[in-house]
Amino acid sequence: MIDPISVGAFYNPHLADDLLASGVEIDHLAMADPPAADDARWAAVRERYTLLLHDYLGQLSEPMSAEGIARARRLAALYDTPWVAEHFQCLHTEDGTYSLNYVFPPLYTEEFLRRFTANALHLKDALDQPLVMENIPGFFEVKTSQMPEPEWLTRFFDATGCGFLLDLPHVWLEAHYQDLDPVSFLKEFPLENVVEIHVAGVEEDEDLGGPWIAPTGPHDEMLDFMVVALGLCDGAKAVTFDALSPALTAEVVFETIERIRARL
Amino acid sequence: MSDRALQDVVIRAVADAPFRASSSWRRRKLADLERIERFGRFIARHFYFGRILHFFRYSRSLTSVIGRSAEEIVRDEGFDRLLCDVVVGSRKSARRVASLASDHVASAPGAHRVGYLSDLLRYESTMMVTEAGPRNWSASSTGRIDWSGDVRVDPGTKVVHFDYDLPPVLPLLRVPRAEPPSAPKRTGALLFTRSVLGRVTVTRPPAIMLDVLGSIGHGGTFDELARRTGLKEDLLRPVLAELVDLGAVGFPSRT
Repeated sequence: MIDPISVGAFYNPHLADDLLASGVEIDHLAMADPPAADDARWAAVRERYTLLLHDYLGQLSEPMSAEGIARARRLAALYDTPWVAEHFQCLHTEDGTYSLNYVFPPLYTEEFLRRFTANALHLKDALDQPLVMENIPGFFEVKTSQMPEPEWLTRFFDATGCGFLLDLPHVWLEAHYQDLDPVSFLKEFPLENVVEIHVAGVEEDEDLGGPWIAPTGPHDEMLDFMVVALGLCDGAKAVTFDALSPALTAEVVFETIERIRARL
Repeated sequence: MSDRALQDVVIRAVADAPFRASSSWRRRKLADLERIERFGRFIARHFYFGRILHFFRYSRSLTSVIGRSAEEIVRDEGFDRLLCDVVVGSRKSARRVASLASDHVASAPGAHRVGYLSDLLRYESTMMVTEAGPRNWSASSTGRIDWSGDVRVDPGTKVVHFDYDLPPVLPLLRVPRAEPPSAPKRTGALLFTRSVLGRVTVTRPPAIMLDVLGSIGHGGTFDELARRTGLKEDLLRPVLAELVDLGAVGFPSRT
């Protein structure tokens, strides 16, 4: 059912030497930023790994600019990515005055569904690779949402034919903050559309007064959750350790990759 | 109000602490007030930690010499106090955070060991402040210039004078250093700009560019600027085009 499934991590340039010197088997690297001009290891990284385009391309609450689409196509070609990822996010205001610079979900309303559907179809048509979309957690509920997130996502995937990049810690965190059972909550999502799964570590955050994503390895409960999810997602092709931080160490990446593999 | 406009109100509530505390937000009762306060503080701390890591990377390479690094301030009481009225991404907040970060490093026990540290921290702070401020997220960098419009200097544009020549030493500060590399003591000005796509560039401006920038003042048309600077069109146009490309100046009717 599960094997062979691609197991990978995010490309953290400060760990490039460790990655290239290591014997730990990493199948793919997700690229959150274009390679820096002075990244001396980039050519070797590109040669060795399958690369997944996972950059910020644009928020699909608005149509992407021609330049944004051209950039997405350029990066997709540079990486030879099997699919292109974007997020269900709306993090900056239309007039550009405010931006959170951090993933932030849209209101789950009919209007936003129409916006994301139209703009995702436009982007999907412009790409030579499939488009997958990642779920984003909400720390608080906005009372004007018109439907639960899983229903909104289901209708989006039905309308667009995009793939689902299932971020498991995001589901886990939402379940935690809504006092829900994570597995029961997970089953409400359109798992038949899942192409890629993210796993990550969580730690207590003082500001939030509870757990949130952190550049650390996933705890055992998260890996158990991954095993359950893989059993429910027949189309999943990849599992990615979602950690991107200057504070991340090579040891955490290698250990996490091996712990993921041990569960497959 | 459209859902998109409502989303903007929620984004502002997360980013803008004074708005979050205002009755105009609170009486909307759109979200749990404690939750959104916590998330706003989380976002601000996360945002400025990332910006300081990025912009103060050169002084951080000297941490073992200086004894401190700028990003440490996001866990300080001074930063906690700032969270009460921070507006994430604004120029004013960037200025205050950059000031906290600079003061923290400049007052470290080993600060005296880096002769050009004051210049370096001003360089890093100016980059951070230049990047801040509203953005046009749908902008294109390939738009042509409508020369008939009024020229104006972008508010993020800064010309800063330094006592040391920093550009040659910066490449040496990309990796941790046990000893500070030396920087030539040579006064000069650097131009800090933010492009329409948000990219911060630091250049050593030629004198003609500084003259043109200084002459723009409160605006005017291309012809007025030509008269003011006394430059012929074939000299003025490429200078202005380069300034537009850098984001230092713009023509409001630019397409």
